[in-house]
Amino acid sequence: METWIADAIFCFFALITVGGALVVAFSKNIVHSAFALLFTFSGVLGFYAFLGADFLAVIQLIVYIGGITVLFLFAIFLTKGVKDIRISNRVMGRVPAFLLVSGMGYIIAMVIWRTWHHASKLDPEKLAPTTEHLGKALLGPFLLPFELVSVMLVSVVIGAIVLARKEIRDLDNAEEEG
Amino acid sequence: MNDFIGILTNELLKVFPSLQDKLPPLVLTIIVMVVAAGALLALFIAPMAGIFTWIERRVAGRIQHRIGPNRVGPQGLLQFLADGIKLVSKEDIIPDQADKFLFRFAPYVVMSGMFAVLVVVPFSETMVFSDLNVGIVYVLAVASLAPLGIIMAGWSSNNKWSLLGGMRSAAQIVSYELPAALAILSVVLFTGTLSLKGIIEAQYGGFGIVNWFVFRSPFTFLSFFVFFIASLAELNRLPFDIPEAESELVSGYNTEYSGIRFGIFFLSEWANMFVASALIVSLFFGGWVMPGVIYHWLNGIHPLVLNLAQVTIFMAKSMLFVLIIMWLRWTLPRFRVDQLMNFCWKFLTPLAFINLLGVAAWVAIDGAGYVIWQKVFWATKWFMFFLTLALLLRFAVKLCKLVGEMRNTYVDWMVRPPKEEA
Repeated sequence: METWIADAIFCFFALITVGGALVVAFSKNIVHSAFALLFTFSGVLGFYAFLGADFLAVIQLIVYIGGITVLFLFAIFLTKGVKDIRISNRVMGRVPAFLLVSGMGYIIAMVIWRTWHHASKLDPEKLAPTTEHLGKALLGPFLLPFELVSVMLVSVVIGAIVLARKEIRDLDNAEEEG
Repeated sequence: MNDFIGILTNELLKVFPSLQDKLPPLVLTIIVMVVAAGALLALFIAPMAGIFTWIERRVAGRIQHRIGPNRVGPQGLLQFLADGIKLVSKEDIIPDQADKFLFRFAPYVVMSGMFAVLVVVPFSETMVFSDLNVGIVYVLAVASLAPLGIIMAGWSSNNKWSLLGGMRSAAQIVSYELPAALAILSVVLFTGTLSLKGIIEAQYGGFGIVNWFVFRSPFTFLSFFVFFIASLAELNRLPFDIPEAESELVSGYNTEYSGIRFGIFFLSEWANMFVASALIVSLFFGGWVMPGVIYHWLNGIHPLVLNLAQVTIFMAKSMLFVLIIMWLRWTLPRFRVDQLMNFCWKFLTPLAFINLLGVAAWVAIDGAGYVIWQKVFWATKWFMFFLTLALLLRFAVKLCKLVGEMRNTYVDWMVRPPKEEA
């Protein structure tokens, strides 16, 4: 692949990712922010596909675009008063903001510094399909973490059900008391 | 590259060899892709969705004992062209208080979700736009774009019906994705590949019919029903059409849309019916595998003829399922919201999990190499096949009897109208 095409594709994805992220951060309408996440996630998906991580790219689409974004939208629609700009875009004051931004800036600078020298030409062999290796790794050397994660997810689901049920019971009690 | 885009590019280079020097190969591939996508939309999706609307209206007419559209063209076949021209020429109204950008953007998100699935649908051995090795996971992934577009349409319309319809639709699609994915997984356990082409190739043999995954084991047989019901729900078709329940929500998320933007929703909904049927066919009904044909008979045939035959078979099978989906729409009443969710979480999902475990055990025992079990499984396959055949026959006989009785009463009524009681 000629380099300029690769550069052009990279810039395209970078533009989508960063542009989406800017809208997420600066939009005064929280629903717009949630929809702008769609573009950010799509850009990241593009990077994954670009780097030959096919399975990861598809999972990014399922989990982040199909799951997380829809979840955010539901949360926004079902929460009272979250569309108020004073709640959605809360001002923290200058000192904490400065600390946060400089901390993030330091981390990003370190990442750039450390990966700068390792950047190399793309190895075509690394662009081979990854699904099989991922599956074997998950059910082989990484079986224990995989099972732990699934146990955690089950407990999260049970927790969600318990929370949802409790609300109904309270409502019933309130009706009986009233 | 031996997929469709690669073949097209090579053919183009044969005709215009000078292109190779002027354009880098990737740019050429991208141009071919864009042109192919446009051609696909103009020559395949739009006419197909249009003809589906015509078929649907005629089927509905037949079921409801009326005629349906029959004026434009032979038997009303060109009705969709008239509808299309009407939709394009209508004013594109955007409500004053709507979120204008998202309102304009939403139909394209819904449409791209449908369009992206077509990339991996294998019409024949070579007619696959791209045979991704993560094929079926990719299908699940891009299908999740639809609820996002629907929520976008519902919210940006600034209309309570639209928002309620959008929320219902998204909740429904997200819930029913789970049993659908589990049903697909039970097939993937058999094949060991996620590529749709690989899944179809795993269904060769057995006279081109008995190795289809519906018959392969009782668990995949049930998985087919789970997947079929879940796809009905993801299509927002009756009996799961509460997102656009006319009696409650006007027409749901697309209430405020008019003109060609409404047309795009319309188009993607009908094209989605084909996409869902095509997936059912490739996963459970052997894709392009011809029933009654042993594969090595086809060795000497010219590849073009073979491919055309395969496309025909694939389209015929898919059309059958499209017709079944239409038939269900005009026969069954609508679910309530709570019934819908109960059905998904308390019946369909556990059933899909049981199927998955069953298939896992099945594959494990089959792979262990006990001859006796392999014979049992082979017998089960044939038993399932003949059982289905017998059930279908019984059903057909009953249906014929019913139709005959209805015709008799109708003829009686037409010839000798019942006397009015004085």
